[in-house]
Amino acid sequence: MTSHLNVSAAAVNFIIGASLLALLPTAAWAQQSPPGAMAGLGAPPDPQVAVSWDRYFDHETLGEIGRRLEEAWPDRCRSSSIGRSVEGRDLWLLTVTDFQAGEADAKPAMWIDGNIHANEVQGSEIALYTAWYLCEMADRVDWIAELLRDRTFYIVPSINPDGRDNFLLEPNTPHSPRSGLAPRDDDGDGLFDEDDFDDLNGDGHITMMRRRSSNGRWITSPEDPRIMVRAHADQPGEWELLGNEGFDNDGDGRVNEDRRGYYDPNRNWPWRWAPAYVQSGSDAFPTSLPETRAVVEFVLAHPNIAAAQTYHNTGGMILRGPGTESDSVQAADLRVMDEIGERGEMILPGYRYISIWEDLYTTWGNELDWFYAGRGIITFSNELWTSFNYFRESPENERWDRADYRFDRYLLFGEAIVPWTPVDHPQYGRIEVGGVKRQYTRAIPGFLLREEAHRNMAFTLYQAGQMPLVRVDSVEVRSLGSGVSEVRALISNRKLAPTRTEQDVVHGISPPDRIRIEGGRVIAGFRIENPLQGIAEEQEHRPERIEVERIDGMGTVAVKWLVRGSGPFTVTVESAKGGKHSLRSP
Amino acid sequence: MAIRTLDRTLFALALFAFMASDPADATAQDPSDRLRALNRSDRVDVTSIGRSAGGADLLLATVAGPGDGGGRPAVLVLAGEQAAHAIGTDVALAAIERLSDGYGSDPEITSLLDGVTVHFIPLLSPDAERSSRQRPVHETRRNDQPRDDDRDGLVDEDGPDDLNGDGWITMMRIEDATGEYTEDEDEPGLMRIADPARGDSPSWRLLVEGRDDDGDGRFNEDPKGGVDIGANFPRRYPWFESVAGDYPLSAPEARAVAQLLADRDEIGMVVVFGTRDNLLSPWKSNPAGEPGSEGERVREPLKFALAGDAPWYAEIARRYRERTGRSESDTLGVRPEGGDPLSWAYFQMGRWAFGSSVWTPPAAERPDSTTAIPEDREAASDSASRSGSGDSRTSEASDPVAAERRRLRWIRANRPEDFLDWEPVDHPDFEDRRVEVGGFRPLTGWTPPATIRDSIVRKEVEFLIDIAMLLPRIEIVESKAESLGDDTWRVSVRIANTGYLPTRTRLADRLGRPRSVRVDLETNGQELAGGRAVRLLEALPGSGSAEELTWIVVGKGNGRVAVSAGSASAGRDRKEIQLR
Ligand SMILES: [Zn+2]
Repeated sequence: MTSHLNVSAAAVNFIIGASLLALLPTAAWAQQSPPGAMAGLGAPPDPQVAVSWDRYFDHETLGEIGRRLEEAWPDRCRSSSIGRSVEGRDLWLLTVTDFQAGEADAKPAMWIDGNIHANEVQGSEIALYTAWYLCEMADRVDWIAELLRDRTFYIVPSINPDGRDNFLLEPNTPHSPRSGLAPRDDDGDGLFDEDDFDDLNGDGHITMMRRRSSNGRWITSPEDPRIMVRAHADQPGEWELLGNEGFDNDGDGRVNEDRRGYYDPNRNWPWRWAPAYVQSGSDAFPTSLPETRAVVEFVLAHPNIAAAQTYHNTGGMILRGPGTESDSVQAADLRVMDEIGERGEMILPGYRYISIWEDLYTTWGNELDWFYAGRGIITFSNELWTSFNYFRESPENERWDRADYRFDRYLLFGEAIVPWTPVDHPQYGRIEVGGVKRQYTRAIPGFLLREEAHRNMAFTLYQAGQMPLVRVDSVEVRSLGSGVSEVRALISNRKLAPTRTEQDVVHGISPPDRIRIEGGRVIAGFRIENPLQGIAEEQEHRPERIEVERIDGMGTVAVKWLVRGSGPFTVTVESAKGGKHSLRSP
Repeated sequence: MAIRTLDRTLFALALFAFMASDPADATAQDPSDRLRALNRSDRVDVTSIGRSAGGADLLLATVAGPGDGGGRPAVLVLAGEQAAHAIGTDVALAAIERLSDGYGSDPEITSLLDGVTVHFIPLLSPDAERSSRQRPVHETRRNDQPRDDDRDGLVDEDGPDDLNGDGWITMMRIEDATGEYTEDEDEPGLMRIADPARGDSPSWRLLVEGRDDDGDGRFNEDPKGGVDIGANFPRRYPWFESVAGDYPLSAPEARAVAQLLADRDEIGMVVVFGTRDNLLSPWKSNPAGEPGSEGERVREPLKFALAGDAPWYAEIARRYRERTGRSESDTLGVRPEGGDPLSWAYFQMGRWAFGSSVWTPPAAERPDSTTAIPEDREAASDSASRSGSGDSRTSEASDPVAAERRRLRWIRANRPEDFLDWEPVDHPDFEDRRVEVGGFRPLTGWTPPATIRDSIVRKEVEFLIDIAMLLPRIEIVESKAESLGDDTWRVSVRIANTGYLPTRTRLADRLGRPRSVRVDLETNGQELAGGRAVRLLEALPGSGSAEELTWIVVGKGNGRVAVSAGSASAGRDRKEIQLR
C-alpha cells in the first residue's frame, strides 16, 4: 500500500492503488501545490481524487473510484448503476456534466463504455480517466468547463465486469477470457465450463506448453531463446508446441475446449444479429446477455445520446461501421465520421481510421452497429494500443520483427515473459511452460498507460465537442398592422454533427427538431426555405410548433410566424440530440 | 394414473364446443380463464412464464404422462400472437383438452404422452386479446406497452374512433380527388389503389375509422398500445416499423418465449397456430445451391431451408394438406414472415418448426396482380391485418387486393354480416366532404364459419398429435462384444433413430443447438484402447436409419461395459454388454 502513497506529495488527498484504497486524513493538504515544483500541463496538479494511472482496477475498485469522484465533485459527477451482470456485479455508470447548468438528461450526451471483451481491460481505465480528468480540470481549462456546461457524459467503464475480474484476478492468457461468465456448454456434451485452462506451474499466468521431442517441428529462435520458431522445412525440430497451459479435465480427449463463458458479448446486439452458423459467439438470441440488455435499455431511455465510443483493444484503430458487407453507412453520416476519424489519426499517432468489415473482418450483431444503425448515433470503437508504440515505428522497419520481445528485453528488462519452466503434465508427462504474461501485448505497460488514456480521451472529447448544439440566434419582430406581427427566428447548430443523422431521419428514430413560439396567438407558421428570397412554406397543423427534419452541421434554419400581438415573443428550439435553447424578442 | 371414461371425454368435447370463442363477440370468455380451467386435470400443469406489458400472465400449459421430470423430448405449441387469430388459441386449448382427456383412454395418446411432453402457450399476446374484447371492437395486434408512435411527445393520443356508433372500428373513405383509392369494379365495396394508367380515377382517401384527435393532420396514427408479438422475434425483424417495437425481443411476451426455447434443449419441435404458414407452402431449399459446404460457416443468415431438412418439411406439409383438405392456394392472405416466431424457431433456434394458419377464406378464383398500398402506414398494416392479407411489406406479401377480393366474395356468399356496407357519416375534420364508414368487420379474417369450426379445430388437433408422434427416437438396436483373444474385445453397437424425423435438423448441426446425440462407452475396469469414450453424432435421419460405432477394450474388468446414447430432444437408450 505505502508504495503507492506519496505522503510527501502534499497535494494528494487520497491515492488509489491496485485494489486498496487509502484516504489520507490530512484533507488540508488538498488544493496546495508541493513547494518548489512546476506542474506539468495536461494533468491536474492537485487532484481531489488521486489515482495511479499505471495499473488496472478490479470491479470493486472501479466503483470505489467513481464514488470518490462523486464525493469530491458532487456537482460534476454522479455514480449509479445501469444494471447487473450475470454474476450480479453492478454496471457502474458515471454521469459527468455541470449539474448546476441544466438538466443532465436533456443535454446532448456522449456514451462511453469499455471492456465489453473481458481481456480488453484498458478501455475501463481510459473511460474512468476521462471522468476523472473532466472533474479535476474543469476549474483550470475553460474549454472543459464549457463542455460540461453544454454536454453530458454517460460513462460505464466496464460493461463486462464478471469477465474483467476473471481476467485480472485469475490465471489467464493475454487473450482470455473474451467472454462474460454466463455458463455455456461449448463442446455440446451437456456439461458446462468443465474443461478450462489449468495453471500448471502455479504462477498466476496461463502461458504455452512445449515438450522436447525429436519429432517436433519447432526450435528456439537464435535471436531470443524464449521465442519458438518453426524449423526449416528440411531441418529437424526439437520441440512440440502443445497449446495453452491445461489438461483434459473431462476426459473427452480434448484440452481446454469448454472454458468459463464462452460467447462474444460484442456479437449479441440486436442490429444484424446472426445465429451461430453465421456468427460464432452470438449466443442464443440478441440481447440474451443481461449486460447487453442493460445498455440497450439505458440508451433507449436516453434519447439525448448523440455520440458514442466503445473501447476495445488492440491494434491502433478508430473503427466505424458497418460490420457486414451488405450493410452501409449513410453517405451524409460518413462525411461526418470521416471528419472526426481523420482528426483522430492526428491525435492518436499510429492509429488508423477504418471500417470494420472492409478493413478488419465481418462482425454480425456488434455494439457499434446497433448504436449507429439501430439508433442513429455517430459511434466509434477505438482499438487501444498498437505495436507502433513499442518503438514508435511502422512495421516496415526491421525492429518490427518480434518487437514485443525486443521491447520486453530493452524497456521492461524481461518482466513481460515467463521463462520456460519444467512441469509435470498429467497427460503429456514432462513438459515446459512459458511465454507472454497476460499483462502484455494487449494491456499497456504501466508507464505508457496514462499517455494512451489521455490521447484517446482527447479524441473522444473532440467528438463530444462536435455533437450538435442548437441555438436561437435571433428573433425579429415586424408589425404588419391590424394588430398582427411577423416574427422571424434564425436557429443554428454551429457544430460538425447534424441534430439528426441521416440514418435517424430516414428511419424516423428521433422526433424532428421543434421550434416553438410563445407570446401571442399564432395565425400561421412557416419554414423559410430560402431566407434570401423569403420563400416560405406553411405548416398547417400546430403552427405554433414548427417542425424541421434536422439542422445540419454548421447549418441554420429560419422560421417565421404571423402572430396576433406585438410581443415580446419567446422562441424555443428543442432537439432530442441537439439540446434546447430559448431567446426572447426585444 | 386416472383412467378417464369415454363419457368424460365426450363431456369435455361438448364443453369445448360450447366454449369455443367467436373473436368478434365481446362477451366471449377470456381464453386465459379457459386455460386455467383446464388446469384441473392431472395431466395438465399451467404455470406463468412471465407477464405481458399490460401485466397479464403469459401462461404455459404442460401436458405430460406421469413421471416426467422434464427429461422427455418435447414439443412447444404457440398460438394467439394476435387477437384476430383466436382460432389458433381455440386449437391449442382443444389440443390440451384432447391430450389430457385421451391419456389412459386413447392408446395412441397414452403412448405419445408416456414418451413426449407437449408444452402450450395458447395466448402469446394476452394484451391484444383483452383489447379486442373492449367496445368498440377494434382489431389490434398491439400489447399494452405505451408507445409514442408519431414521436410527438404524447403517448397513445390518437387512436381510432367509432364514428357511426355501431360498435365496430372499420375503415372510412373520404371523397377526394387527391386521394389514391378507387372502388373495385369486380367487387363493389372493396377499395383499392387506383391505377391511372388503366384509366382509374382516384376518388377516395382511405383511412381507419376515426378523427384527428390531436390535431396534427394525421388520423389514428398513435393508437393505444405498442408491440405486435408476431413482429417482435429476431428473424427478418421489421426494424423501425412502429408495431415491431424498439428492437427484437423487446416485448416481454416474445422474450419469455425466446428464453424458454433457449433454456429447454428437449424441445425439438415448435408448432405455431398463427398467421404464418409453412404447411400449405413448405420451406424449400435454395434452388441456386446450398450455401457453405458441410462444417463451413455460412456467410449470411439463411433465407432458404437447408437441403437436408427440406424433404421433411415437404412431406409433413403434404400430410397436413391431406388431413385438412387445404391447398397451397389457401396461403393467399397468410402473413409473410418477418419478426415471426415460426421461421425464427427453425432458422435461428434450429428446431423443427411447423406453422398452420388454420383457416383463411377458401379460394374461388385465381389471384391477380394488383397491389394496394394504403396512404397511411398504420392504416395499411391494420387493414391488412384485418383482412388477413399480410402486413405492410407488400413486396414480399401475397397480393392483398386478390386476397381481399377473395375474402369479400366469400363473405358475400357465406357470411354477409362480416362486411359492413359503406354508410355516410358526419365527420368534424371533413365538414364539406362526403365521408363513409364501412368495410370488413374486425376480427373475422381468420374465423371460420361456426358450422365448420369444430371440425376444422379437430383436424388441426389430430394433425398436431400426428406430428408429435413423428419426433425422433434413439434406440440401441444391436450391441455385441466380439472377443479378439487375450482379454481384448471389439465392442460394437448400432444406434438407430426409430422415429420419423431426423434426430435434429441439419441447421441444428451447424448451429450446435439443440444438442446432438451423445454416445458414451462406460467401462468398468477395462482399458479403452480404441475409439472415443464420448462421441457426438450429427443428425441421424429417421425411419430406422442407424450408425455403427465400435471400440476396442482390453482387460476383463467386471465383465461388462455399457453404452448409452441419446439427446434431450431425441430420447435416450442404454445397453449393457457382457464381455465373454
Ligand atoms: Zn474487442
